[in-house]
Amino acid sequence: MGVSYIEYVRERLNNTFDVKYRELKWHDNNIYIVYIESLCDSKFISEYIIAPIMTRGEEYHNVDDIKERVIVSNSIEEAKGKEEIITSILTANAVIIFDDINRCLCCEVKGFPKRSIDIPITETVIKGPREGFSENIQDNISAIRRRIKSANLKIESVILGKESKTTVAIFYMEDKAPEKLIKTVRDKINDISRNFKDEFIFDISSIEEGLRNKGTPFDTIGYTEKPDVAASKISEGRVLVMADGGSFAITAPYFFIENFQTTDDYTLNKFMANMARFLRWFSFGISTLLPGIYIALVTYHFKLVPSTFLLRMAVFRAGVPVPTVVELLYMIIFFQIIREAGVRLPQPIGPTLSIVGALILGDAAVNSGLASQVTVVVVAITSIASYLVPKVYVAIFTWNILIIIFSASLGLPGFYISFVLFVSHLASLTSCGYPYLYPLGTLKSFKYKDVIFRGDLDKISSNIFSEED
Amino acid sequence: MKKLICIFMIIATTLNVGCFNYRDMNKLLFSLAAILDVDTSGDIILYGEFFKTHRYGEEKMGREDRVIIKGRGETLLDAFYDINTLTGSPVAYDVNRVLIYTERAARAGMDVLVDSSLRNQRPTLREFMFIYCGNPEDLVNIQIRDENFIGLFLDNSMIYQGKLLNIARLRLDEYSNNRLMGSRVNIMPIIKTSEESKRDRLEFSGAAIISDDKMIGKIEKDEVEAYKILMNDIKLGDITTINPMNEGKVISLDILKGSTKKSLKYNGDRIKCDFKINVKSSLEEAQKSITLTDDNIRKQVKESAEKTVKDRCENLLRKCKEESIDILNIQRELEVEYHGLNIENIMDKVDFNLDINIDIEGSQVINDSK
Repeated sequence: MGVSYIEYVRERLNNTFDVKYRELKWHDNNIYIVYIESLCDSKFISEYIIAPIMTRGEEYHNVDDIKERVIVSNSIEEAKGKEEIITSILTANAVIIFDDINRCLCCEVKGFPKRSIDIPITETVIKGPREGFSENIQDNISAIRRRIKSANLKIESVILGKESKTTVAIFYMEDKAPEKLIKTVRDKINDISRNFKDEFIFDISSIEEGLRNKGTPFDTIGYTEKPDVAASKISEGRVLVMADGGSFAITAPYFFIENFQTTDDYTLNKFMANMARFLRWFSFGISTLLPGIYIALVTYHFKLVPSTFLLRMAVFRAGVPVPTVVELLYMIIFFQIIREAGVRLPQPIGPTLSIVGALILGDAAVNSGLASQVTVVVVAITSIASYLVPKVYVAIFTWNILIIIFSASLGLPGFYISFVLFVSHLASLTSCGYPYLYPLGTLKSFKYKDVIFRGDLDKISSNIFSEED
Repeated sequence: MKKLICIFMIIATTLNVGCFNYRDMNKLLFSLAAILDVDTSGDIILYGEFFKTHRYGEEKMGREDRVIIKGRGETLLDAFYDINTLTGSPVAYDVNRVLIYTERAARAGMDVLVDSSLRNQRPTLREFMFIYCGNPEDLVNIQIRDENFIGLFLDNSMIYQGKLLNIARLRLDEYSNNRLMGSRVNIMPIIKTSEESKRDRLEFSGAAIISDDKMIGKIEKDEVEAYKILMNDIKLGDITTINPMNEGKVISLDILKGSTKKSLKYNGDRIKCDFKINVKSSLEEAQKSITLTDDNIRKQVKESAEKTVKDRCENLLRKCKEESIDILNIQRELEVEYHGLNIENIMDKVDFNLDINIDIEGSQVINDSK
């Protein structure tokens, strides 16, 4: 019943000040146009829905003619129930409810303010596209579509969250992405849709958490906020998932080696890019292992340190009241606090705090006898080196502490044990069914010439998966 | 299963850590030099030169102190623990750089002093070994101006100056090998306080011949040169010979590089030992003047230099034959080459033959280099 439709809508959307009702006369019936002012383009509604109905509506006698010949809108669908009307209104559509004849048309009239396309903060580049994703999924889809003009690019849509009704899009290349990978991602998202207790899903994190490996500080699901990177990942056969309202897309599977890849690797001179990537691997090694080696050498195996340096270190440590391991641990935690504070504080204050923290407080710690210069240098090198691979800094921090504890307990044998545990942990991880250390564990089908050094672009720009993977 | 393996690895490694344990370096006395002597009653006297750090009151940085402690005991370990009773911090011998034996201790027999150094896994086997001729009290009280610690001074000297032809060099690991193989002879550098300046300088003064862990003789500096040439250890040094153009004047040839090839032949009665010595040198100094572009002059210089080297080597070999000391460890090479061949009084049966070739580089005309 038409009246009952409008009554239902009024009842469900009561106390909602931005819901607008516009009543029109059509022959002897009442027409109600209902929309949310904050989500819809009012001018479009006036010019292309209300005006045509008022001027030409009387010429036609049934709703189908109104739909087909009067209303000027790119998308018109007929609602099939009361709940669908509510959903349609809430998803930025204008609904036209025909009184007495139990029919309702939904027109797409989206028109809300949105952030302009910006330079991504987390993935800065020297040379290459600077466009970043925004919070609007349509814009983001458009950004990817503009890069992959292929009919093989498939974009599936799922609605998640009973109340938030967030649109989630799954991207993949039909001819490149393995079917089992698409199925894994699709099934996981459907599981989340069925089982997720929260009625609100605002961003991609819930899906990311569902897909990623539990119990590890390493990210086994990748993320990006750059459409060019997203398009590149899709073109390699990966699946990309994006949610409305979030400016990040997640990619699956995500491999360990991807932590060391940046857009610049593929846009800059190959030699420069390779040098930078080698530095990243080297820095990762330093930042993960240096504190452990340091503590093992300076507390157990003095004779492995050049004597001149050893004696100098002893002079620097003179007067430090705590054991070296405690000193190292609190200096690492201290640097992490500074780093966290620098990230959380507003942009103009953050870098200042980092400088003040690192220079002044570091110097003060040495002068006050809380730490030795060498420990400060070791911690500083560790921290700075970890910034070269920002995607794994949490994992580096976690493993740093573990390796230090092993090394301080057992010396170099402890260091070796912790290193073996570290590598075993990495080797045990999977990402959507693929080994996290890929392609290192799949030597038979080794065709990914983009690990430590990148090969020529024409040789690496292809599907990374082979049938037997 | 994974957990079991992890637990097993941790337990196994914990048990295998052995003598290593956690130590903070600022709470240790680092030994840099150990001076070993014996007294008339046979007790071992150990002088330790230690590195200790301090940081007092308002100081922004720590500073280093040199600590000398003397210990005495029936064995070296006794003496070591005697030292420990006199220190506030534990002693760490991990980075000890040099072992210095007094002449008295070396002549009495070094076996009682060396065994502990070889058995203990803490000190490195790369310590340099020396014989000190003189009173050890003078040595520990010496104040070298350019280095506070005798241990570091001697260590650096060996690393950087040990390549010189007239300075012998011996590490503990080399000593431990040589004392068990062949003729069991080691050549150990001798140090003594400088004649000119007793209080602030140490000098190298030839080398001691150690046979079966006992010092049995000495060789002088020029004999050390000959020894190193014969042992194919030609790295840095000079050859001084007469200046053929000016009577009574000399020239110096700087050694650029050199090699010695030794071949042994045993015919059942005599051993023929041939040395082929090749040295590349450069004229560095000529008193008065010399013209090297003259082939005749160059030939005279070459022959004169070769004769100088030959004389020096032959003198050393003659001395060794006279005293029956197998200084070149020919016995060991025979054992290797002839499968365990052992010859009594080997030096009486060896005939040495030297073939020396010295090339002189640097063709520039030096008319006057005064």
